[in-house]
Amino acid sequence: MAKSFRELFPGSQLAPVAPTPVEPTAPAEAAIPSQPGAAAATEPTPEYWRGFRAALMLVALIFGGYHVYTHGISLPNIPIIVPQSNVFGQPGFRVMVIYESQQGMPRSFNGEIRKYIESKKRPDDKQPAFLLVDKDSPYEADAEMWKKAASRPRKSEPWIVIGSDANGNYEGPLPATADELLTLLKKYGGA
Amino acid sequence: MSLRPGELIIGDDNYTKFIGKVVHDGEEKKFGLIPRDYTKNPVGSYANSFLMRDVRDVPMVAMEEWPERIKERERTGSQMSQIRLKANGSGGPIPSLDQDGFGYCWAHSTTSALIMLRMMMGLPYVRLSAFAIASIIKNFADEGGWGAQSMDFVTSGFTRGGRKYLGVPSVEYWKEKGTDRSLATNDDVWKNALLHIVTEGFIDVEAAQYDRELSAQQVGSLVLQDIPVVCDYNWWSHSVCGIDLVDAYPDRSARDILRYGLRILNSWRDTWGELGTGVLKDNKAFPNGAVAPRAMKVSLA
Repeated sequence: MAKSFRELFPGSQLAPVAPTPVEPTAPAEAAIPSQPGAAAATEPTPEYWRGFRAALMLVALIFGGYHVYTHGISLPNIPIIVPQSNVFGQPGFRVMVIYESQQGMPRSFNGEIRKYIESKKRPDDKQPAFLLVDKDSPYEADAEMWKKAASRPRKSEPWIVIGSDANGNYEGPLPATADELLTLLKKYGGA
Repeated sequence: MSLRPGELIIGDDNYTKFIGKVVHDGEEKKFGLIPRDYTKNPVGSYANSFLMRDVRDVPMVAMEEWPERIKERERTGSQMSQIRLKANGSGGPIPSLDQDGFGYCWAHSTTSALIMLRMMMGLPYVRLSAFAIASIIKNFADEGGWGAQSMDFVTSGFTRGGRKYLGVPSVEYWKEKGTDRSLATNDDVWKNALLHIVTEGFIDVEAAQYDRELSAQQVGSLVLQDIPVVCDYNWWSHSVCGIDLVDAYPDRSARDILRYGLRILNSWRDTWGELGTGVLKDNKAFPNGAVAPRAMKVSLA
C-alpha cells in the first residue's frame, strides 16, 4: 500500500496542509422558470444598444475620414439657377415679333397662335399680350416697354422676343411654321 | 366654299340692288366715291402718270396657292373677319363704322383699314374718326372723294389754312358725324391724331389719287398676308375696306381670278350684311382703285 506524502515526509513544510474547514454557503437560489411571452433573460439591454451605436459611429467616422483623406470630397453636379428677369421688364407672359412689313405679316403667326397668347394674358395686365411691329416703326411714349424690346440686338427678321416670369426668356428667329411656333411658345407660356 | 351661311353676297347677278338708291335699316345709304373727271383730268395730265402702273414691292402669293391658303386661314381662325370677332378689348367684335348720312365712304374705308391693321398688329382697339379726315379735306362740305385721298391724309398729311394735319383722331376727340368747326384748330385733337399715322404702305405714289391702283392679284396677295386694302369701286360709287379673300367658286381653276371673292368691311353699321361685312364676287370682286397701309406708329392709345 502506498504511503502518503505525510507518512513519507513527516514534519515537511511542503506537506499538504490540512484543509481548513469551509463554512457551508447558502445554497444557490433556484432559477425562476421563464413565463410564456416574457423577454428572454439574454436580450441586450439599453446600455448595450447605446454602446453598440457609439461603436458603429466611431467605425463610420474612422472609415469616412479615411475615405475623405484618400479620395477627397466630390459634390454632386447640382446646376445653380439664377432666376432671369422678364425681358420686357414687367411681369406677364408676352410676345413681340419684329418683322419687315414689306414682306407681309408672318404666316406662322396665325389665328391659333394669337388665341394661345391671349389665353395667357392676366386679366389685370394693361399691356397687349403681343405685338407685331415693322422694324422701322416709331413708338409713342406709352409703348416704351415694347420699344426697348425691339431695340435689343437681333440677327434677322422676322425675330421673336418671348418674356415670361417663371420660365425665362427667348429671343431668336421667328419659327417658319405655326406648329413650331406654338411648340416654342408653350415652352415659356405653358401648356 | 368659304362663303358663310347667310352671308350677304354681291355679284354680277344682283349688284344692281346695291347701287343707286339703297335703303337699309329704314334709311337711304350714302356712298361717296367720285369718278375721275376726264375733262378736267385727261389721261396723262398728272405729272409722271403712265398707262400701266405697277406697285412693284407688293409681296405676291402665287394664285396656285390661294385655295389652300384660304382654307388654312379659315381653319385656324386667321381671317381678319374672324379675328375681328373678339378684338374689341372686351372679348367682343370690333364694330363697323357708320358714315351715314354723309358721302364720306372714301374716308371711312381708310379709317376701317387702320383699325384692322392695328388689330392685326396686336394694338388695343380704338374707334377712329373718319369724319375728322373728311371734314378737314372737304372743309366740312359733304362731298365725295377717293380712298387714296384719305390715305394720303394719314400718311403724308394735308395742309389747310397754313396748318399741317396728319393722322386720324379717335372718336373721343372728334365725334362721328361731328361738324364742330372749332375742332379743326383744336390742338388736343391733332395731338391725338398723331398717335394714329401710317408709316409705310403699298401706295402707287406716282399716280394721281384717283388713279392709284393695285391689281387683283396684288389685292388678293395682300389680304392673304393680313394687310387690309382700301378698295374703290366705280360700279358701286363706293369705297370700302377689303379684309378677306374668299373661295367663291371652288370648282374653277386656281388661276381663274373669277374663282375668288373679296369680303369687305363696309361703313353702314353692323346691321348691314354680317356685322357690317359682305362678299363681292364675279366681276364685282376686285376694286378699280386701291391702296393699302402696312405699318403704323406703335401707340397703345
